Amino acid sequence: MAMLPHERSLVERLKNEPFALLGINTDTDKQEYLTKAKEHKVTWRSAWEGKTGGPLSTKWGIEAYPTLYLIDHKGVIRKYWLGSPDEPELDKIIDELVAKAKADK
Amino acid sequence: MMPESRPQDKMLSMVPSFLMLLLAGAPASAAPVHSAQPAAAAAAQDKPSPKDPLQAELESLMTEYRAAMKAWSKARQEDPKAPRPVPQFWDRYSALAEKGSPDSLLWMAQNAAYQFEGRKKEITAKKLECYEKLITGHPRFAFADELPRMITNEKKYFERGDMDRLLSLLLLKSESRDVQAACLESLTRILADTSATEADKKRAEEYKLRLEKEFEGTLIVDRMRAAEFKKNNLQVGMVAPDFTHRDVEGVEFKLSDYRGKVVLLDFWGFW
Repeated sequence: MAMLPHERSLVERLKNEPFALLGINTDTDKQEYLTKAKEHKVTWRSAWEGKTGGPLSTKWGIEAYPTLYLIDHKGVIRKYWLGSPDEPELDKIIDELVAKAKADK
Repeated sequence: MMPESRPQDKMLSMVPSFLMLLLAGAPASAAPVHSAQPAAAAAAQDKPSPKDPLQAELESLMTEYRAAMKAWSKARQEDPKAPRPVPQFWDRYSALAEKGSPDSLLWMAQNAAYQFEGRKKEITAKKLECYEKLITGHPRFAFADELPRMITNEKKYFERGDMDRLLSLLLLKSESRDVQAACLESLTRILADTSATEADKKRAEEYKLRLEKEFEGTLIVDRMRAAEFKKNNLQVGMVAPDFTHRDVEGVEFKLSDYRGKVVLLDFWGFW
C-alpha cells in the first residue's frame, strides 16, 4: 500500500522494457479490492490469495507484508525485501537487471 | 537501509493485544513472534467474557500494571538500574491466579525472575509451578498455542527434562490440534539436540513422523514446511520456484510466463 505510488511510477517508466510487476494480493473482499485498485490505479496483474496466509503466501512462508522478490530475466532470485524497500536502491537494481535482460536478447 | 516500519506496512506480529499486555516489557527474546497467518482457531475457544468479574478484576490490574511499566521504562532512561514494577503487583496477580485466572498464572511465569531476583532455584520452581498449573487447570487457555514456544524459551531456568515434562503434559491435556502440533514441534527440537540420548533421538523421530502424518494443515506444520521450502528454494541465486495462480480476474497464469522479463513479485494488500 505504501509502495503504490512508487510502483505506479516504475510500471509507467518501464512499460516498454522487459519488466513486469506482479502482485500477490492478500485482501479478503474482492469487490472492495476492485474498487480500491481502480481508485489507486493498480494496472498491473495481481494474483488473488483471498487472505493473508493464502496458498502461495503459506508455501513461501511470508512473514510480513509487503514482502518483495526481485527475479531476473532467467528466473533467478536476485534480492528480496521484508517490508518496503528503499526506493532508490530498488530502482538501481531493477535498472541493472533490465539492462542485462536487454543485453541477453 | 530497510524502512521496515512504515505506517502502512503490515509487519505481521499478530500477537493478540491482550497477550502483549501481559508480556509488556518482557525481554526481547521472549517477545512472541507470529506468522502471517491468522491466530489459531483454538485461540477463540477460551476468550473470557468481559462481564466476568474475575476478568474485570484482571483487566483493571493489567491497566495499573501497564501504567507502572510505562513509568518504569521512562525512569530507566535516567537510572538503568531502576527496578521493574513486579513485586508490588505480585500478590495481586497471585490472588487472581488462586481464583482461577490463567492469564495471571502466565504473568507470574513470565515475571518470576523479577520477583525472586537472582534466586535461580526459586525462580525455576515458581515458573514450573505456574506453567504446570496453567496446563493442568486451563488446557483450553486462549494462548495455549504460544506456550510451547514460551517454555522452550526458558533456557536460563529450565533443564531439558523440565521442558520435556511440561510439553508432554500439554500435549496430553490439550484438545487443540494447533497446540498439540506446537508441542510436538518443540519436543522434536529439544529432544534432538547434541546431548540427546538414543532414546531421546528415537522419540524425536517418532514425534516428527506424527507431526507429518497427523497434523497436516496446522499452523506449525505450515511454518515448518515453509522454513524448509525457503531454505531450499527461495535464496538469492536460486531459480524462483514456479507457481500457477489465478489473478483477480480469474485468469490463470504462471510465474514462468514471465521468463525473459525482470519480475518484481510483491506480496501485498490494501486491507
